[in-house]
Amino acid sequence: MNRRHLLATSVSLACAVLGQQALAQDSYPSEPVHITVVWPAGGGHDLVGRLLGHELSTEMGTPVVIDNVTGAGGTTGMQHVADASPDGYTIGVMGLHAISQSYMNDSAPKLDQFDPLLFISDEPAALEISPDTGITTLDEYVTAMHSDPMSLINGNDPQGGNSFVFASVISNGLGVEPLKLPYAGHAATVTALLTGEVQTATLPLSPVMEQAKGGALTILGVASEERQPQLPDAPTFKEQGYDVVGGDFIMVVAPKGMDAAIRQKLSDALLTASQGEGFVTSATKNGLALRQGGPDMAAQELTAQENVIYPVLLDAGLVTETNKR
Amino acid sequence: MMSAFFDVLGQYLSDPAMLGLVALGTVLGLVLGAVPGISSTMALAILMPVTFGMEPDAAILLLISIFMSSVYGGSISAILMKLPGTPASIFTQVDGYPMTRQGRAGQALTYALVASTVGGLIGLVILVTLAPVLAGFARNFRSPEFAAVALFGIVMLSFASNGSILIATVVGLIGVVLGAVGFDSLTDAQRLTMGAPMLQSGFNLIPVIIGLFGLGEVLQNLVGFGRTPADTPKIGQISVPLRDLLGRWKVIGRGSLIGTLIGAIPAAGSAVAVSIAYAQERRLSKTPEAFGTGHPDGVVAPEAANSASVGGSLIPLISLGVPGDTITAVLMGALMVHGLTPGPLLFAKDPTFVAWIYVAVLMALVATLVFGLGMIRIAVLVTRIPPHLMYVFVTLFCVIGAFAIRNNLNDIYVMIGFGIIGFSFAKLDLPVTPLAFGLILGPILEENLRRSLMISRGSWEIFLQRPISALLLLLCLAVVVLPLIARWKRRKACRFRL
Repeated sequence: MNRRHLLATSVSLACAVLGQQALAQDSYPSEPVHITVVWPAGGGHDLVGRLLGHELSTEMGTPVVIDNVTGAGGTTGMQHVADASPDGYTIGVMGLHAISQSYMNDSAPKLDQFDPLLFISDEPAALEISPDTGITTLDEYVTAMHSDPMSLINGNDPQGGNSFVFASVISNGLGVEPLKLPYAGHAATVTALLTGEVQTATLPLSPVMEQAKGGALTILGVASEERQPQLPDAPTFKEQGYDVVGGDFIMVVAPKGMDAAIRQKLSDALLTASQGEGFVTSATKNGLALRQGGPDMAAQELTAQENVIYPVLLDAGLVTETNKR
Repeated sequence: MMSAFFDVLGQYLSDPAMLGLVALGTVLGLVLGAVPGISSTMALAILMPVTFGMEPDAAILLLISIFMSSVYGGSISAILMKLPGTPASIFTQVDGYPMTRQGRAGQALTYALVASTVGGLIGLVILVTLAPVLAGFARNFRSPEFAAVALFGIVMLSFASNGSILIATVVGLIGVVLGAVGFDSLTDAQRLTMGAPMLQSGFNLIPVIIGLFGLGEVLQNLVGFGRTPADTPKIGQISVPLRDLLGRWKVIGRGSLIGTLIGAIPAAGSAVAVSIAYAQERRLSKTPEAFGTGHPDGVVAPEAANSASVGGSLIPLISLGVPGDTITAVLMGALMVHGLTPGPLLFAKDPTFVAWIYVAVLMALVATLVFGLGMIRIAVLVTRIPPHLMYVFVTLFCVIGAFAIRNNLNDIYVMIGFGIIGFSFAKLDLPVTPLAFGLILGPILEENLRRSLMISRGSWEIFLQRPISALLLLLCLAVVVLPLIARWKRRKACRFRL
C-alpha cells in the first residue's frame, strides 16, 4: 500500500463517516431503540416501559427493546443510560429514585447527565392504615400518634426509596414521628400491612388500589392537590387541612448531548406514543395518573422535584458530603 | 367455584384456538427455559407484549403455559450441561448431571418431567381446594417467621451435601457473607464493596450459580484434557420403568407438600422450597451417601417441590393481591395490562377469572408433560456433542446467560470469578451447593432478623413469643441435636461392648 492509496482510503473513510452522520439524522431510527428500565421485570416502571415501547415501536416503525438493567437501588441502570452514546437509541425510564441516589451515592450519575424527554405520570404519596386499628380518619391517626408515637409502626422502603421519602414528607406535614420499618419493595410492604406487622404504610396508590377497594386497608390521605380519578373515595391531605403535597413521578430521559434533529424526532414520537389510545387505556387501568408532557415540562418537573426531595434527604442525613449544596 | 372451573375447562378443550395457544406457549416456554440465562421471569417478560392484543382469557392461558413449561425447561440445561438457569434448579443439577455423565440423561429428564408434572398437579389441587386456608396460614408469617424459615433452610443445608457437616456449614456461612455484599437492604448503606461501583449491586444469583456450576465444571474438565480427553457419555435409555417411578410416590408427595407450603409464604420462593425438599429427602434416605452421585430421588424431590411451589406462589397472588416472587410479579403485571387485578375481592367479584387461572395451570401442566416427553428425545442429543465443542458452547452460554440477566457486563466478571471459585472448591473437595444457598438464604435471614429486632426494640424474645417461629426454631434445634444424641448413644453402646 503506497501513500496515495493510504490517502485515498482515509478520504473515502472520512466521507463514509461524515456521510453516515448526515445519514443518521435522516434515516433515524435505523436500528432498534433500547429502553432501559432500572427495576426488575414485573414492576411499575417495567410495565410503563413495555407499554410505551409497544406504542413507540409502531410510532417509529422500529423494534423497541426493553433492557432491565437492575441493581444498586436503580443506580446501575441510570449509569447505563448516562454512559450510553447519545444517538437516540438508548433512553431510560426513571423516577424519584434517581434523584435520591444522585445525592446519596457518590458513584451514582448526577442529574445533569440526563436530558429529560417525556414526562409521563405523577404518583402521589398516600398514607394507608390497617382497618384492624379502628382508625378511619386522619385526625384520629394524628391524635393516636401524639398520645403514643410507638403505637403505629409505618412500613416503607429502605432509606432513599420512594415510600421512605413519602413517609418523611407526610410525617413532617402531619407533625408525627412514626417508627419507619424498612421493607425491600412495595409488594413486601403491602404484605406487611395486610398481615398486621405494620399498621400504616406510605405507599403510592397503584400497589394498594385493589386492597383499598376491597376494604382490606383504609386510605387516610393522598398527597395531591385534587382527588385521584382512579380512587375518588380517597380524600386528599389538603381537604383535611394538612398541606402535604408530593410524590413520585415517571419520566423518560436520554443521555445528554443528543443531535437536535434526532432529539426532536424522538421526543415527538415519545409524546405521541404516550398519548396513544393503547397506552392510555392500559396505563389508566393500572392506576397511573397520566400527565404527559414534552421535554420542557419534563425538565421543569425534574427541577421542581429535586427541590422538594433535597431537604428531605438532607434532614434524614442521607446526603453525602460531596453532594451537599 | 367448581362449576366455573369445569365450565371453563370444557370451553377451552373444545376450542382449537385455545388448544393451539397452550401448545405454542408450552413449546416457547420449554425452549426459552432450557436456554441458560433465560429464566422463567424473563421468558414471561419477553413474551408479554405478544399478549397485548389478545382477549384476557387467551392471554392468561398463553402466559401461564409459558410460565409453567419454563419452570421445567430450566431443569433441562441443569441436567444436561450442569447449567442451572434458575436458583430453583440448583438441586436438580446435583444429581441430574452425574446421571447424564453415566449415560442416563434421558432417564434423569424423564424423572424430572414426571415429578414436575405430579408436583404441579398436587400444588394445583391444594391451590383449588385450600387456597383460603393456606392464605390464612401465610398471613401468620411475619418477619420473625421469615427469619426462622431461613435459619431452618440454612440448618437443613448443612445436611444436604456429602462429607463433613462442619465444612458444609462453614462454606454456607461464606455464602451468607457474600450475600451481604452491596447495598444493605434495610438502610441502603454500602457494605463490603471496597468502594467499587461494580460491587454496589451485590452478587446477582444467576451469574454466581452459572459460574460456580457451569464454568466450574468446564474448568475441571479442561485439566488434563489434552492428555485424556473426556469421552461422550452414552445416550442410554430414555424411558424409566413404571415401577421405578411409582416406587418414588412418597418422595414426590413429600416434595410437593413442602413445595406448596413454602411457595405459599410470600417472598420465600421456590429456591427455599427445593433446598428444604432435597435436604429432607437426603436425611430420610437409607442411602444418603448416594445423593450427589446420580440418585434419582435427588432429581425427583426438588423437581416436585419446584413445580408444586408454583401452585403455592399463586396463593398470595390470588388471595392477597401480592406477588410472592418475581415470577408471579411479572404474571401480575401482565394480568393488570388486561385490566385484571388480583386482590382480596377477586374470589367474590370474579370467580371466572380465578377459574381461568386454575384451568390454565392444569392445561399447561398436561401440555408440558406431552411436549416435554417429545422434547427429551431431541434434548438428549446434546450429550452426543463432542466434549471439546460442548465446553465451548457451555462457556458461551455461561457468558451470555450471566450478561443477559440484567444486561450488566460486570456480571460476566462475577461469573468468571465464581467459576474459578467453583473449580478451586472442587479441587479442594469442598461442597459448592451450600455456598449458593448461603447466598440465597443469608440476605433473607439477615433482613428479617434485623426487622424483627427493630419491631421488638432489640428483644430476642420476639422469636419465642410467636408460636410458628418458636416451633421452627425448635425444629432447627432438633435437626442439629438429634444426630448428636444418636451418635453419643452409639458411642456409649460401643464402649459397653468393649
